[in-house]
Amino acid sequence: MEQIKTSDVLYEEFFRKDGDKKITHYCPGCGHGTIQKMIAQAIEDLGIQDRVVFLSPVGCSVFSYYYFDTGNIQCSHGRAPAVGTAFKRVHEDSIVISYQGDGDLAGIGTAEIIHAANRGENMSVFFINNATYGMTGGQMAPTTLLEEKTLTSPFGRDRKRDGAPIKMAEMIATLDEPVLVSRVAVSSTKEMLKTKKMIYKALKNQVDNLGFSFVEILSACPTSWHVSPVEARVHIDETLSTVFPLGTFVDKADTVLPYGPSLFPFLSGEDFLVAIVEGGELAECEQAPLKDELAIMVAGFGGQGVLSGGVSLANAAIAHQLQVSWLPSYGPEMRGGKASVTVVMSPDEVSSPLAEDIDCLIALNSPSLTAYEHMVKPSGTILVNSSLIDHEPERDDVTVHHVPASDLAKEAGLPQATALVMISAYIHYSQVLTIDSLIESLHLGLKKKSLIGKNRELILKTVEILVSK
Amino acid sequence: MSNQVIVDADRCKGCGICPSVCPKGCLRIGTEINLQGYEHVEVVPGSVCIACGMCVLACPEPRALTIVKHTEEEKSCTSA
Repeated sequence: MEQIKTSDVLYEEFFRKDGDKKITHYCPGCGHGTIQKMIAQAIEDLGIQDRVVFLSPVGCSVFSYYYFDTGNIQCSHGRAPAVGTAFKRVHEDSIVISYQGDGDLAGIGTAEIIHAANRGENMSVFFINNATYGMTGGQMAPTTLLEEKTLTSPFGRDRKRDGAPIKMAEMIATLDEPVLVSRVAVSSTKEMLKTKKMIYKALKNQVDNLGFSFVEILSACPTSWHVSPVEARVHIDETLSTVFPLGTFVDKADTVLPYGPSLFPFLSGEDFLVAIVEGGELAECEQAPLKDELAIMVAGFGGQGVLSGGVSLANAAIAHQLQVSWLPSYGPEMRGGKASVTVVMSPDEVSSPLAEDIDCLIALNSPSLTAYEHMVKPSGTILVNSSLIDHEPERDDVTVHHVPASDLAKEAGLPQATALVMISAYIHYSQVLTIDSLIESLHLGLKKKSLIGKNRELILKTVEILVSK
Repeated sequence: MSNQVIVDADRCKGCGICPSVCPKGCLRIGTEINLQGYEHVEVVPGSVCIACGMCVLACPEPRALTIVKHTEEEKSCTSA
């Protein structure tokens, strides 16, 4: 005696907050129940229940975690492929199932699914296409058929106004990476048997590490279609599948090589930190004698080293055991556009990286001086790049220093270090930080490590000139 | 002894899909109302189940239907 029954991968009772514990929340005749039973059976047949992470979408199947006795994550609307990507990459032995409806996958989450497919993420995606937004009450979906009446297309879907039904399987089949792309249906006996087989295949591919499998399943929504459950399944065969043709578009399972690790090294933790700062360590200096927060703004144009100069200043402050924020502001141009950075340093937590009143303005060009000098606090400081600025600040309640920064930087062959010259001057005049800490921090901010020596010489020369002034 | 379809009446929503896929006409929607208020499916008396499994496959509700399938040996034992 043997039994043909529902797989035990589905819980025996469903602990939903409301509702009966014996039945699902799906409407009578819904395709979801049938499909989820098939998936549960495939999980059982492959013996992978303890490895499965089932990603529930937003939509009617949002409550799948009440049914599947597996790992479960309920994802943000449309983002299941992104969540699955992360999960699979961290837990390579897991079996990630992304179960999504047409609002989720073909509507709000189109970008996520296309890119997960294009990267060939090693996961199995089941796309339940019922050509409507079921959960919200039957509005028009991207997959709704032409001339089909829905809540939001009461006179029928109009091609001119609403576009044509989106064909996800065909779209994904144009990409190079997917291993399996197929469209099946939960309709007649014949099609259901094919669906069962295809679900098994999509999961088997992942077990074999073959990559991305995508199965679109045409599924009935009798409630939104306003037909009986039996009529709904007939409707799939007679109408839906003429617009969304059934078939397998891609099947490379026999030819593709198993999914392997990336050719590039994967770094984590300490190795990652070492790689991004190239082994650089922060200098340790005495705590700076600072009682209150200080806000310094460096402003000029792109190419003067405004942002990286700000990084050096911030690192020097960190070396002196201060808390620091670094807030850049720049246009889309890499060279020539407006660029500024605000560095706030504080003995305690920085109250805000955005400073409206600044203690010191380092103006690298004339427009910056004009634009920002009003922000300097009374008795604050303005440093003027006298190589490029030929007028005086209008403020008479601040201390002004002139430094021929562009000329010094150009002489040293480092025009992109103009901001660094000014920052050296700021440190020299303000006495809050030390020139040594600036020099010791250079390696953290400079992308070209070979230029550290030249930058150090430029800083020392700047200080020498200022001292002799 | 023939195969048997066992209906868990309180798990059935009476959608009518299983009668539509049964090749032997073993199932029908009855007139009794279950706990959820649905007229649930029932086995047609005297029908012969071939244990093809289509009703279990097509049914959207977990565990509403179970087929007890007897082997040829068991069948001959009881009929003898």
